[in-house]
Amino acid sequence: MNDPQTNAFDSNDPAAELDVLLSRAVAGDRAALAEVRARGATDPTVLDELTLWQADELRLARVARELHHAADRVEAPRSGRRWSTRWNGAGWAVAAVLAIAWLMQVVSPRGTQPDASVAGIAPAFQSSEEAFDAYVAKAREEGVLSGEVAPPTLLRSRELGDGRGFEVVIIRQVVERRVSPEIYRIAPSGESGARRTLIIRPRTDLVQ
Amino acid sequence: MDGSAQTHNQHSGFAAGDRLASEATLSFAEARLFERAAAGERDALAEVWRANRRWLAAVLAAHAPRGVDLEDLLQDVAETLVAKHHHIRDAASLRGWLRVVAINAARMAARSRGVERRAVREHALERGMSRAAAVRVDGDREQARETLELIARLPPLYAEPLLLQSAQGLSQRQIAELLDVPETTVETRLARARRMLRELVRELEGQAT
Repeated sequence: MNDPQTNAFDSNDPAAELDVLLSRAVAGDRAALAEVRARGATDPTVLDELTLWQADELRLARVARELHHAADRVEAPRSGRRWSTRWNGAGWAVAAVLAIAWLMQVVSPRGTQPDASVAGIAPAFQSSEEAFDAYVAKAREEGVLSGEVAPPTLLRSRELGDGRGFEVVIIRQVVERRVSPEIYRIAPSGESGARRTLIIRPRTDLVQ
Repeated sequence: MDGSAQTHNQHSGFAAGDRLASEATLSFAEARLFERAAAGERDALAEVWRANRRWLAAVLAAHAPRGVDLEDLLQDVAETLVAKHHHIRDAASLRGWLRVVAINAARMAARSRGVERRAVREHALERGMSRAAAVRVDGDREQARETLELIARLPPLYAEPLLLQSAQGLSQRQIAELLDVPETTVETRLARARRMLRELVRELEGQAT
């Protein structure tokens, strides 16, 4: 192998020399590919190694597609960075804090809204937020909702460009409590270890 | 573009994605485009960005820490290009300047964002959100992400030429010019990068079986 500090290729190292040859071959150098195949005629492990390196190259091709997708989604903004002095250094951490503060106001259920509104849930809501609030209130009334609704967790945020604002991606979670007459468990069964579904029923006083 | 790069592009199934990055030397058209951008033509500047953004994504992927959003970093680089392109001396120094901007953005992310983002993600995972549920992707995309995770474990010295060649179709000569190192150095770094990746994939596949 070559020296990682100097990147000097050690021509006396057969393994390093083969790596360079394989690297050229998988990058499309036909002469190198022919040389690898010629060596493979006497040493089949070389062909095995070539196959593995080609599989890795396919992995890299898939990486390329991902990078291209990501790159092609980003356009140059119409003007320079409007918040350059404010955002530099602190980066999007500041944006995240502001976004969370905003989300706490906009997304979280309105604690001040009376539960009385639950009885008159209208079939059509003005917005998904209204529908969510109504769900939370109704779920509390039924005892389904366990504890408080957790504040939204910010996953990421980014500027959309062209003055269109920010994309804020969050996770919003509610913890529900349900009562079920039975539950299921997937477990290995028999010598083959095949997995099957087991029904678990609650014990009664008599069983105990 | 030399013969090996052309063959590589055919091999990997990718056309040369961006014009600026696929030519060893800056063409007249590219230089003209940059001049128009420097003169304040907004559309020309947008075109300069589109011509460079794919190879910049490769540079960012090689230098950014795991868990950082690549699109955020690309946005940073695009903003810097728009805000500061008048500082670039000439068209010939554009790519080198963009590469430095990208590496700085990646390093900044490592300091200020990476830890926070990982913490948020780990928090989400702790709260019962499986990775598979968090990001539903098909097999190819999942493998691409998995491979990017492995590449992130390589030293950037090796990851960058590997991504520039394998993912972007740049020739060794083009990479050497971009990194400002001899071609022989690029060749040995590429071989070493592929060997390192092979060992990491072997390790990963060993864990899976």
